[in-house]
Amino acid sequence: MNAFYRMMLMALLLGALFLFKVAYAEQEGEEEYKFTDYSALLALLPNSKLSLAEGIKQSTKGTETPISAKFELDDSGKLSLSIYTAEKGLSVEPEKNVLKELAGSPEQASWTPETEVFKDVEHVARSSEHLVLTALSRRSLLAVVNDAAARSGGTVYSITPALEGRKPVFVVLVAQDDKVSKLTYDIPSGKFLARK
Amino acid sequence: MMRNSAVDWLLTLSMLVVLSVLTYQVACGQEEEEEKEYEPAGQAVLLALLPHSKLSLADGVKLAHKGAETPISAKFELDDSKKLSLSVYTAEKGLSLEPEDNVLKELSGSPEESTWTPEVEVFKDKHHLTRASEQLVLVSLSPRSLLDIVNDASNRQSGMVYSITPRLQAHKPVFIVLVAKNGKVTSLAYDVLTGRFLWQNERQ
Repeated sequence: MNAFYRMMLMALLLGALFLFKVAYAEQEGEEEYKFTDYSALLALLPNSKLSLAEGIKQSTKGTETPISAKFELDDSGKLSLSIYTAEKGLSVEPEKNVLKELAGSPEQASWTPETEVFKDVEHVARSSEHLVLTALSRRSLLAVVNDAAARSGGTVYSITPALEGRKPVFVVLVAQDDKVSKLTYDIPSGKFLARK
Repeated sequence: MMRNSAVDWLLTLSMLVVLSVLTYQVACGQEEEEEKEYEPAGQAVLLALLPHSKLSLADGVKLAHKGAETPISAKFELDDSKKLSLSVYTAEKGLSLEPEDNVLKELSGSPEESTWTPEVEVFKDKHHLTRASEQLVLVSLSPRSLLDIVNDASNRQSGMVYSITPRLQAHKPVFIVLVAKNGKVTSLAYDVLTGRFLWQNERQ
């Protein structure tokens, strides 16, 4: 094989690798469950050995503070408990904080999550927003989860601070009898707003 | 035959070296860049250069606002070669779209020319993304625009408004506005959630 063909082959391989990486990166957005995924998640929730509130408690260590939490399906379709945290607490702005995800199976006797420090665009932007919004609240994530559990009587499986129409709210998802309720709380006051 | 094979491998090796160098340069370009906190001497230089600007901070904020693209912070600063620069962070898709789904950018360039023709950088590094995400969230919570606050600060405090930044101070969201006059700086704070003026103090 002469030098020209060798160079062409390498260029093609590198180009293919680059395109694959770009395509893969674009696919990795926030997981929005399709109906089938949604039912699969609800079906697996009873397998968890711990509640969302327990996961939040376990992720609170020293200054490290949870800023969102949810049960989800991992890449292999298994139940996972994922908690985003701000390692230096809510008083340190995102730029100077360490934004992380603790994720692992809640089906074992003890939850031993893997830790990822965010560096990619989507996760850094998302967790920065979670930190800012959670820092604005008078109520902790745990207090809101406990309120939602008491109010709904179902299994609280997700809490996310979000902007809805430029209004800061905690969105709490509760599973009950194969159905999902969405509860919203006003972030600054911590007051319950609505259930759908 | 032997000579051709040797040339082939040399060329392959050269390509690998070039690729490694390029990868290293990209990695270096993404390294940390902290928010500039000026030493007194640096701040004095900045304040001395402010009168050279052909446009005000409000003008810059207006120029950066195009269609959905909305300013989320703005300031005069010294660029890497210590020249005066006007930097405006924007959210390309507006305030209704969360940071993750938005495009966060910086427009920056010399304000000393007759027209401001800023360079555009789309943020991809952790430091700029976290800072711009925080600013977008806070500005989107406010009933008042950045321009409105800048104009209010101009009316309230004589001098040149040269910086406006939304930030969290002890869990409280505030706009911090800096005004320069006679080599001194006054800070003004506004409550982000209500847009109300909170306090002002002279820094030096």
